[in-house]
Amino acid sequence: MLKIKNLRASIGDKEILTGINLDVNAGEVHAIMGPNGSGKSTLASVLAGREEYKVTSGSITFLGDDLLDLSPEERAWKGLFLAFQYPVEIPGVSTTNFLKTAVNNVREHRGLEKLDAVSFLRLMREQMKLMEIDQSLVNRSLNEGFSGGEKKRNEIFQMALLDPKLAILDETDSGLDIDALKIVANGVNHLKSSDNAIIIVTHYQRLLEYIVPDFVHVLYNGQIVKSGTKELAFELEEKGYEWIREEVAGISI
Amino acid sequence: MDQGRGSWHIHINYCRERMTTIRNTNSLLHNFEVYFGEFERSLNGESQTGWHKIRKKAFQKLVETGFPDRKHEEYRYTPMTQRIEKAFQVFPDFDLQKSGDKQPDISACLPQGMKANILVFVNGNYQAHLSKCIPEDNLHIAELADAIGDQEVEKYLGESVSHTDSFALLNTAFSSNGIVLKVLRNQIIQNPVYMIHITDGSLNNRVNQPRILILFDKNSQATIAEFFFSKGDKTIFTNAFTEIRVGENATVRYIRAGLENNQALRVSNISVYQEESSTFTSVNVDLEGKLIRNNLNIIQNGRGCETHLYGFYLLTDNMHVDNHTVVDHKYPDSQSNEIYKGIMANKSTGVFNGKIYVRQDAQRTNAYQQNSNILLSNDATINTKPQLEIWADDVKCSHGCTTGQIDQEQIFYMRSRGLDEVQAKTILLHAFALDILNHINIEELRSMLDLKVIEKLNNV
Repeated sequence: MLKIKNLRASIGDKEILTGINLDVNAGEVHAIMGPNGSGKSTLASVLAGREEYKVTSGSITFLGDDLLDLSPEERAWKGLFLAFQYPVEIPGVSTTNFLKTAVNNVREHRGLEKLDAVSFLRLMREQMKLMEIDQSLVNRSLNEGFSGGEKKRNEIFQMALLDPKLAILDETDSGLDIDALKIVANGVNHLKSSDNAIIIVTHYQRLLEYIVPDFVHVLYNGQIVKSGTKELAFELEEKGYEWIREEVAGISI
Repeated sequence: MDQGRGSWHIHINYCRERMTTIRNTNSLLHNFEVYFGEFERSLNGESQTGWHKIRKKAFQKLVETGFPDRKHEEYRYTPMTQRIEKAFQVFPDFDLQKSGDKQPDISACLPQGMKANILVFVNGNYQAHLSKCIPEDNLHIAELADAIGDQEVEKYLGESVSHTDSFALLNTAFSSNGIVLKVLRNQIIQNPVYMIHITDGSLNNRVNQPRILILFDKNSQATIAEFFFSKGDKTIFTNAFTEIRVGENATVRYIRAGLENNQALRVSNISVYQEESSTFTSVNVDLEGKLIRNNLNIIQNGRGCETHLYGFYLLTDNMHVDNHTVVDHKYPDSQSNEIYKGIMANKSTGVFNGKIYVRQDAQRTNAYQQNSNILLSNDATINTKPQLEIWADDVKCSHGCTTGQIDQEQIFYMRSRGLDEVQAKTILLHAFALDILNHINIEELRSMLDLKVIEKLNNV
C-alpha cells in the first residue's frame, strides 16, 4: 500500500528526515516511536503533503501512485488521512457543512454517489455514536473552543466518515485522559480492517496498549534505527530512549 | 471662468489661506454653483419659502468650506472630490437630471416573496406610484415638500446645516424630493421598511441626492433597509443623506447596502441621534461601486443608550470603500459595539476610521470596536485607524484592528480532508463575511447579499 524509499526531507536549511525506508501493507498497524525532535511529525506532515517541507530525495508510492506528485486534497481523495496533532480551529465554519463537503468530495473522486442531506445525517449519527460525539459538538464551528480531547475525538470521527485506506495518527494520544484515550482507541479498532492500514505516530507506548501494532519502528535523527514487534514498544517504555541513543552511537563507532 | 458672483468671492477669500483648496476644488464648486442657480430657477415660487432659506444657508456654508481635497484630514485616502470633478467636467442640463427611466424594473431589487413596505427612489427622487406599503403597518410617510410646514421637520432640516461634511451640506442645499417617515409613539412596525434606490446609469453624469428623514417616537420599533442599485454602466454620483432620530426607548435596526455599477461614486451621510434608553443597530454592506464613502455618525443624546454597528466590505478590481464612523457617548451608562470586517482583492482599497468619543459626563460607558481585514493580493490596501477620545474616567473601552492573509494552516487542514484549494478558501472567506451578514434580520435581504458575496468569492 505504502512504500517509502530512502526519503530525505528538510524544512528551510535543516534536514530532518535523513533516509527513511518503510513498507506498509493492507491490514497492518505500524507504530512509529521516537524521542522529541526525531522527525516523527515531519514524516506525518510529508505524507499528508504539507508544503513547508521539501523532499530532497527518495520516493513515496501510495497505492501505485507517486504520492509526492499529489496535492493534499488528491491524497485525501485517494484514501490518505492524517489525524492532526493540533487540529486547527476554524471559526464560523459549521462542522456539519464542512464534513458534508469533505465526504461528498471524497466520494465523488472515488466514483461513489454524493450523499444527500438525509443520508449524510444518518451516516454522521452512526459515527457520532461510535466516537461518543455529542450533537452540540457538530453544531458548533469546526474545532472552535473544543477541548483537547474533543478535538482528538473529532479527528477520529472524521476518519470514520472519510473511510481512508491509510490513516496516520499524529500524536493522537497526547493530552488525552484515559477515558478519552479508550474512546479514541475503540474507534480506531472498530475502523481497522484487512483493507486498510494505520500508522500511529507516538512518543508514548500508552495508546499501543489499546491499539495493538503489528510493527514498531524507532525513529532517531531522521532514520528508522530499529524495527520490531509490539514488545519493542514495551521495552522503550521501560528503558526510555537512552539505550537507543547508545546503540546507535555504538553502531556508528 | 465666471468668478463674478458674490458667493464665489467668499470662497476666494477663504482659499487665500489655503491655496491648495482653490486648485483642487474650485471647478467642482463652480459647477455646482451654476447648477444651484438652475435648481433655484426650477423652483419658481418656492424659492421664497423657509425651506429654501435652509437650502441657501447650506449652500452658502458649502461655498465657504469648499469640497475636501487630498489634504483634508477626513478625506486624505478618498479622492472623492477629484473623482467627481473628473467625471463631471460638464454638468448636464438641470432638466435632464429629472429625465430618464421613470418606470424602472425593480424586480431584480426585490427578493421574491418578501413581505415589506417598499419605498422606491428613482434617480434620488421618491416615487409614490412605485412604492407599496402594507396597510396594517400603518406607515406615516410624507414627501418632504408636503411635510415642510411641520415644525419638527423644519427644525431638523435646519439643524442639518450645522453638519460639517461638505457632501451633507450639498445634499441639504439640493434637497427636493425626499421623504419623511414617522414612526409614532408606541408604534411597532411588524414588517421591514425596504427602501430601494435605483439610478438610471444609461445617461452620463447622473447626480442623485436622496434625502430621508426618519423620526422614531418614544417606545417605537422598526427595521429599515436602504439598498442602492443602478441600471446601465455610466458614471453616476449619488450623494445620499439619511437622518434617523431615535426617540426614548425606541429600537431601530438599520441595514444599508451598496450594489451599484462599477463606475458608481457615492457618498452616504447617515446621522443618527439617540435619546435615552434607545437601541440602534446598523449593518452596512458594500459589494459594488467604484468609490464609496460612508459617514455614519451616532450621537447618544441620553443615558442608557445602546449602539451596535456592523460593517462588511468585499472589494475587487479597483474598488475603493471608505467607512468613517463616529460614536459620540455624551451621557452615562451607555454602550457601543462596533465590528467592521473587510476582504480586499486585486488593486482595491479599503479605509476604516472609527472615532469613539466618551465625554466627561459619560461615566460607565462600555465601548468596543474591532476592524478586521483580509488582503488577498499584494496590490490591495487597507488604511485603518481607530480613534478613541475619552474624557470620562470610569469607562471600559477597547479597540483592535487586524490585517492579514488567509490562514494557510486552516487551508491545509481543509485540503487534507478532501476540499480543494478554491473550496477551502471560499469557505473561510464566506465564514468571515457571515460573521457580519448574520446580523441582518431580514432573511430575504441577507440571502440576497449572501448570494452576491458567494458569487464574488468564487471569482477572487
